Amino acid sequence: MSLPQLWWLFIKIGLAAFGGLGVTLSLIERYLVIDRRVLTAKDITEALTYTKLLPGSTGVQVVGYLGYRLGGWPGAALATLGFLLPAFLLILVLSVLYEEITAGLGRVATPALRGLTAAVAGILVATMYRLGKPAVTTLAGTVVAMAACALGIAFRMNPAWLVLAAGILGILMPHWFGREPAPKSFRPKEKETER
Amino acid sequence: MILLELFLYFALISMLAFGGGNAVISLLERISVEQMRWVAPQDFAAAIGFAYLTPGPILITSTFIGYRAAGFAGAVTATIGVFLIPWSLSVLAAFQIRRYIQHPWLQGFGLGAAPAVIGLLGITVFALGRYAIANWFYAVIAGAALALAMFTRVSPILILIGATLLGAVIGPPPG
Repeated sequence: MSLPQLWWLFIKIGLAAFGGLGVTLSLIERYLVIDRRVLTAKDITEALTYTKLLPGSTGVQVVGYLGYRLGGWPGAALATLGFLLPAFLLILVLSVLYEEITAGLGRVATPALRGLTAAVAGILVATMYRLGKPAVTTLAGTVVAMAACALGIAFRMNPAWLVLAAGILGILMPHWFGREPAPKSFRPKEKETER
Repeated sequence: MILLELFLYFALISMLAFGGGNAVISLLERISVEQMRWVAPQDFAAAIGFAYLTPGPILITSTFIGYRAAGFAGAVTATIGVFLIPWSLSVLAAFQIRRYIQHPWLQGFGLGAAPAVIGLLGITVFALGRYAIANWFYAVIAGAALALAMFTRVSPILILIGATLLGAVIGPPPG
């Protein structure tokens, strides 16, 4: 995929990324994994995992991370600029027309926004399923996914801590999560003679 | 001078946003309303509403605050301030993690963290649903969107437009 194509694709994603991260992920999954096959669901999960540990807007970071994967630093820059451009321009227009708009946004806004948000929730569940299929493959993985969700909802725990804790669990107990065989260069020697 | 202040404060806010933009909304309010008085309290509430109404990240609120504080230059400065450092960090991470991705520790970390990351999306679903699904009408919209996204290749953009129009035209008032 050429850089202008990448830029244009992320403008489209930025234009439709209502409701923040969820729809952004749905659109990236749709355009780059299903339609163009330049990324996999695992790539998206990887980008989410490491950007959740870093401070800042996760959506912008996932776009930067995947933009880098697709086109190096120029790809990362163009993807992010494209992604932010529609939001920036729209907010700018709203800022300029602020006084007029607050008077006019009346009865229609709430039901329309509710309809939009309900659809975002539905689409996000489908995205969770598709991203989860390769990522959540074991019983322990299912438990971790459900625990992260429940702890986040019930105790409002910070997502960064939950990701960190689950990652450390993965380092300590990789076989719980269906570890793939390590490449030869890292495989400890005694493992070879065990069998 | 105000541009420098905008840049530094928004950069600071972004550096504290562990877990995403939503984590610093209250800090953003404290700095831009109470401490720096860039916007009035009701303006801040409107800014958050605008950010939800428009596509893109919630921290695009910064563009609005920057504009109210210092016009177009303020909008640009605040936007760059709030996104530049986190963006650089994530691209650096992509660069570094790709180099060491085969290391067993990084592999293990990825294996364990991936399910948690998927589970965290459930929190967003819960928050969105609690706001949107005020009655059966919106539950039907959510279910239809799920079915379309799951079993058909209808574009998510079309689903969103359709749901918004349905809500605007025949959506019953909440309650």
